[in-house]
Amino acid sequence: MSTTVSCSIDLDSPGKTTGYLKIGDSTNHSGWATYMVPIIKYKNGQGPTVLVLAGNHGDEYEGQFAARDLANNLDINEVTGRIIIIPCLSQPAAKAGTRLWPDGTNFNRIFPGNENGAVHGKLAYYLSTELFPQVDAVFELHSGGRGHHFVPCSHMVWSQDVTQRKRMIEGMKSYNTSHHMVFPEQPGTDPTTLLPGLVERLGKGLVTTELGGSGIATYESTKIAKDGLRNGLRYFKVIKGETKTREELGFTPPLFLDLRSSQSYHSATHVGLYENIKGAGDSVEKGEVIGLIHDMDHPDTPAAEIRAQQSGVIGVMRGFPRVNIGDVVAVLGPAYSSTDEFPENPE
Amino acid sequence: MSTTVSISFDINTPGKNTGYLVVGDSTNNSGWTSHRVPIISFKNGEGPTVLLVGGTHGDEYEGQIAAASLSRSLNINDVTGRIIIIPCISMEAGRNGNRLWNDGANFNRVFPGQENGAVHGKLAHFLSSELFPQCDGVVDMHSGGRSMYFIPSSNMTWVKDKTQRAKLIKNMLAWNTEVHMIGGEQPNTDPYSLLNRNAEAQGKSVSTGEFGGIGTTTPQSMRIIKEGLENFLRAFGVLKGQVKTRSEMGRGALAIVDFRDGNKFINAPRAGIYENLVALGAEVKKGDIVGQIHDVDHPDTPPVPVYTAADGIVGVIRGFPPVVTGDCVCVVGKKWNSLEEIEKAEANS
Repeated sequence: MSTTVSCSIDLDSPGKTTGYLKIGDSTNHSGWATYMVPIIKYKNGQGPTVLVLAGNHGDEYEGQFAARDLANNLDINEVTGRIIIIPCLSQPAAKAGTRLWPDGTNFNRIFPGNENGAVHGKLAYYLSTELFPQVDAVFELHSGGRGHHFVPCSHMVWSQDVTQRKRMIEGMKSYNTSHHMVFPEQPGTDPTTLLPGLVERLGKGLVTTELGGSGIATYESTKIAKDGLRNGLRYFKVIKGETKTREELGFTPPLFLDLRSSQSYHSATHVGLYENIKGAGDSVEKGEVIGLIHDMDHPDTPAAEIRAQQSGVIGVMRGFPRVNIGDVVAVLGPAYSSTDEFPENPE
Repeated sequence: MSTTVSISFDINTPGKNTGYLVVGDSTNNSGWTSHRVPIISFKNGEGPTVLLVGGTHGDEYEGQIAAASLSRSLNINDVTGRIIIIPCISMEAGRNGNRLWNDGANFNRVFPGQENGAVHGKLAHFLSSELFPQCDGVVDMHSGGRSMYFIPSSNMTWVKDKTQRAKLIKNMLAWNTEVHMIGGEQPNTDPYSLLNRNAEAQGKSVSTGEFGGIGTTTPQSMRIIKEGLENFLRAFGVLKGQVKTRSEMGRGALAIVDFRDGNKFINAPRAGIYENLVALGAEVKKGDIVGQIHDVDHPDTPPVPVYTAADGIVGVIRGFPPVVTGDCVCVVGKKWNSLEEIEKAEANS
């Protein structure tokens, strides 16, 4: 129970209602401010409760557009159960076109939040203690951000809990993207500080995505975000209609990229200007040059080569070309036609 | 003659030489510093002199990488004449991922420069008074920047002087990009404050392009600019080897997207988060919706549709989604299939 965030609407009332999460705040320009986060609720008939979240990172826009599309255009009669939508969790970041909040906070590293902390801490605390407990499933829509560019995909972290893992695989597939990506836990990071990491451990249905990147959204990537979300909501039986597979829609079967190995991540070895020699979606062989880092200060210095550490398909390439040592420039791994073909333990 | 910028080597020396433009500077952390801009020259045999400039805008990386790659890979024996390469003229903006210099200067609005001005003013003055005069051709490679996403293309300004225009057309076509773009003068702007127009005013044979956008590069955009640049240099007679036709480069039929009419630039009617509702290259009709602007503070406010006032091809879409009123969000151009069509339309108007 949060004492520092309230919801201006009754989330249990039938029908469509829009309002705000209201958070006590105090800024230089407004001593007694209320920080307002738009929230939209649909409730109709019987069915599960699904929470749709976007804008966790401000500069990832496809999910924000898909969530708003749902909030603006979903017909209440299509709903069977309850859908709660927060189109943008990190409003100051989204407005500024940045990943992080103005104080440098990554909203995806502060869970379970802090009831008496900063606005983002209060918001995370409210999600953890009030919203997550009352939902059956969560959609958490990301899209790469300025630094990276993904093949638009739904994805998951390879949960150690086999029941939960199976639930997440099915949810991931329901988004109908051409690629699905399986990631390991991030090293050196408490997984429950991440929004989806916490939801996963609460045993909820969970679908996460990376729908593009570079801090922009195209018509094509936004369409993938919108179509996938509708199909995913059908899969969870919270909107009416049959869920469709890619094959039923006339698309190629999906590829599942196994990115669990530490060999998947490729980091910049030098400061400079990174050139993607191979792009997102390309197949590469181990040892092949996938990128070059140009030292723009020294015209005589040859470009540093980044070579594939394993064979596979590139899921993520670099967006923002200026890199520091250690910045991730590519993520690639072997592709399978099903997660059933994944080895027990990656190399 | 500039007294505030010098080159660390003689760019008339035969062979390949690398060094720096050295610009006198004085900063908070370095009272007696010199701002350095890498420059590379290739000189071999007889032929014209061409200057290649990348990074006029810092967050436009295709040109910077193409220029840097060429300066590392070019074989001196393939050159016939002189190629001078400045991979990134706005080094600090390039480093920071910004269009503009740290003080907000747009390097493409500071010409003819200022000998005793800021570093960018000194550089512009050096280019316009020392480098341009010794060149036959000047190439300025852009790529949209963070806010815009172009169909990668060479382009030109449709200047009134027909002799000059003929040179620009020839140069534009030599890149063999999938489409080419022609634009008019930017309203309320001194045209000669732009790098390319300053070179043009000196009677130089100029070529420009917008080879992508959004402040990133892809293997596709890099392939287009590298292949195009090589073909341009051959067509200009400064690089040996056979000039390729469109079909030899695997391109489709010629298409020119014409932005000369003012109503082809679509501006945001209000602030918010802009969503592209058309794809790059899509065909649209006057009155079609090309995007919508979301009011992220008000969940009950429907998005504001943005319309095109002209028929044509979507040549540019929005990159950076946050917009303020007046930001350009889309450019729609009339499509021509040949230069003759343009000339004919002009004769009839």
